[in-house]
Amino acid sequence: MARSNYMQLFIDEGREHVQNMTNHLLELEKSPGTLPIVEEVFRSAHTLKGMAATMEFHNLSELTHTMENVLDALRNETLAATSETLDHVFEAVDLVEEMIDDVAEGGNDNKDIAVHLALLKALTSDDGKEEGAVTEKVQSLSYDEFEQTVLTQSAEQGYTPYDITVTLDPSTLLKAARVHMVFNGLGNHGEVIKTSPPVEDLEEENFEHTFRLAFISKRSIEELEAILYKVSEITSVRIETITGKRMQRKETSQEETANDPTTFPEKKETKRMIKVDIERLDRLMNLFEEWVVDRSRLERNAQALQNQSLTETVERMSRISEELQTVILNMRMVPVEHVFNRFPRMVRKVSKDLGKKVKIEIEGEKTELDRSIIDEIGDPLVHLLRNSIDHGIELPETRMAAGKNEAGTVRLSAYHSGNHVYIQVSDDGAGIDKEKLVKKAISQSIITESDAKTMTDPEKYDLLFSPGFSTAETITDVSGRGVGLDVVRQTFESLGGVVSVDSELGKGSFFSVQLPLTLSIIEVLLVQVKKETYGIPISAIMETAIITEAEVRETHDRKVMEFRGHIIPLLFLHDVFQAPNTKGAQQGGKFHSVVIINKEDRYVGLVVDQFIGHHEVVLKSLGSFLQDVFAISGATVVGDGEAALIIDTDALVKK
Amino acid sequence: MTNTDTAQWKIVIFELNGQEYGLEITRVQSIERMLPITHVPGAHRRDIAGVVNLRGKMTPVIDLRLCLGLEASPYDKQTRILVVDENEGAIGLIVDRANDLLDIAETDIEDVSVVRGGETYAFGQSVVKIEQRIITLLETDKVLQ
Repeated sequence: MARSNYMQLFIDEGREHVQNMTNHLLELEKSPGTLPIVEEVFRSAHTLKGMAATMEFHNLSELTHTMENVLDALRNETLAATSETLDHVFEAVDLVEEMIDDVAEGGNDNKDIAVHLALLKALTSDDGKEEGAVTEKVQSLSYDEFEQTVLTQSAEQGYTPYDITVTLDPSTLLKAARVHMVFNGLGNHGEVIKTSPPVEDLEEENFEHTFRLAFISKRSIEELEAILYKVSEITSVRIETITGKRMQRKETSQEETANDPTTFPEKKETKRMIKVDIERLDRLMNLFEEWVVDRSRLERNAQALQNQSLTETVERMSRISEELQTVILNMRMVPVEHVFNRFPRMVRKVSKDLGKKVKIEIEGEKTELDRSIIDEIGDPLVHLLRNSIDHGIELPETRMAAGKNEAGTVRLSAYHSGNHVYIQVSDDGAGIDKEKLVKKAISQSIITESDAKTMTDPEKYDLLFSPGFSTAETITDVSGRGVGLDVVRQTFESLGGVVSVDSELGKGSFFSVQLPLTLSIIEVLLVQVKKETYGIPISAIMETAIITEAEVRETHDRKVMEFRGHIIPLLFLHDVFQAPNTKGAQQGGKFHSVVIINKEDRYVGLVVDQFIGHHEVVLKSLGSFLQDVFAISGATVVGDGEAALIIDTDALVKK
Repeated sequence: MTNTDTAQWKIVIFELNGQEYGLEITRVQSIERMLPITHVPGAHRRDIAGVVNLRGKMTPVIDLRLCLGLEASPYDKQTRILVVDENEGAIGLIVDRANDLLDIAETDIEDVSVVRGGETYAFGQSVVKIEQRIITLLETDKVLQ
């Protein structure tokens, strides 16, 4: 079986359904008894069940089937959507997600589902009728609420719902093949909503000679009949339109559709998407850059040749290629909701576990970020959110006593500003006691008493991110605050992000993460160092200056300069990088070109030979063979297709 | 290596300092003319010539002369970059010239230590003698180690 062909599809769609169930279950919890919401969850569970069965994941299919029963009881209102009931459903969804994750990692759905099955079954057990409700009725087509909705909605969209009865010749040998041909024939002209007996039975030939289909189409009865009679060994076809809850033959609608000039089935209104492997996009981008390099060669040639029409063509090409670049880059952009979506369920679970009441508010989930960044920020954000709930939000009694709302609020927001995206996690909890932080840091010898005296507030809060900070065994209101936060900061910083924290004691705390829009495009100042071209990220540059030899001063054998009243070190890049042809270094020049870079409040002046200019470049990794080259974060293609290295200014400032 | 059958190998032949070396063709992704090389400061090996932009991909290049302990020589029109695909991604090997492709039988391959006694071929794993030519087969894993 070509199961593997569908595996990725199964995983992707499975995850979407898990997400859908989660979202709607959360809504349902807020407004219990809202039937359309239950329908949504049911639909996803139902689809998942079908998908799992097809892929032969029996545990998964059994679990979703049992969930379906519970949801069915919910929508029939024989079961109330209490928080406890939903807990079990949520847990089941968690398990489904785990199973899908396992499958994604090459495993299967081998999880112990017995406990969950028992819990779910217990919910519906006192109502034996419900068990029967899901077993299919074989003879006639009856429609549950969901199917009815589909039927009525399709009618509103101009489709006609049909009830089709197909009878095969009693001597037919391969009944399943005929069924397939019927489905194939109809498939191009509409959609099968339901069959009796169910599709699985049809495929296994578990029927006599007759089966029925609920089918929506824009075709007329005659057209459908013609299609079906093309299938051999079909003795009779009966097609009726379905109206309301009953089925009756309705000639008028048939004429209407017959006269309808647009008899071609229209595609559904959903946004059509395809999923593309990120590596393919990278390849596309690489090829495109090659193209841009050739384009600039062409531009130069055209200029040299002074041929009017050639110049015009090349100019048009340039404009198109700029647009193309935007398109390609946008293809990599994904809304942060892909990450944010998973948080409400997590917040619900964590707060339940801790016995706290927490509301999560999400804003700006449509903000877009490069796919490669999106993939990385999920885990550190989980950490920040957990941290807020765990250490920020107080227990309900404490909050009441402090005159606050019993339920705490965690707010997750994302917005776009300039070349950055900001993601913020704030809470209205207890806040962070900076003096306790300082004491703790002193006791752990992270800072000294004298350090503490000169520290600014931001520096104090920053202690939270110190490696190894506050892993103390005793749980106080401060300890634990910093557990793992150093890892969080590292992850964000490896993405070119900046993390900061602020707090007001008793009012809450505020974590802010600034991320680059994309990892691959950065703005740099290209500079010349002897024969080599280097790029310095604009984000790290304070300003550029030209200084005279006399302004270069020396202290302790180090060259320094004065900048805004401070003495800052000067780094001669050709020394740092031992650029080739440095033998005659520092000959003659009365002036030095200096790029002043900073990291937080530390400044360094980089001396280069020449500024070339400001460029937007595509940052490329040097690959694993050249990992960890000092002060180099990657390379880019410049000019005639040569590589230029991009300087990692942070490494230089630390030095 | 067992010499029980007469398996044929296709070998790309290149020259370094007047000697012939061979690389199995399946390891060679492409043979490029010299490209502008960007010097990488502070690379961990002194035989790393730098990086080149190979069709949009930053590709490190190694000067095979330096790598094999030979004397460096200026690049000329004959200089080629053999791009080999390794676990760490594509890596370019700079050679004096590359212009031949030979079929050799596995039975023609001999262990260098047997043939050459004490002489050191740091990275040559074995040699092939075809008529008057002696070709050292290069094992890229060792070169890149």
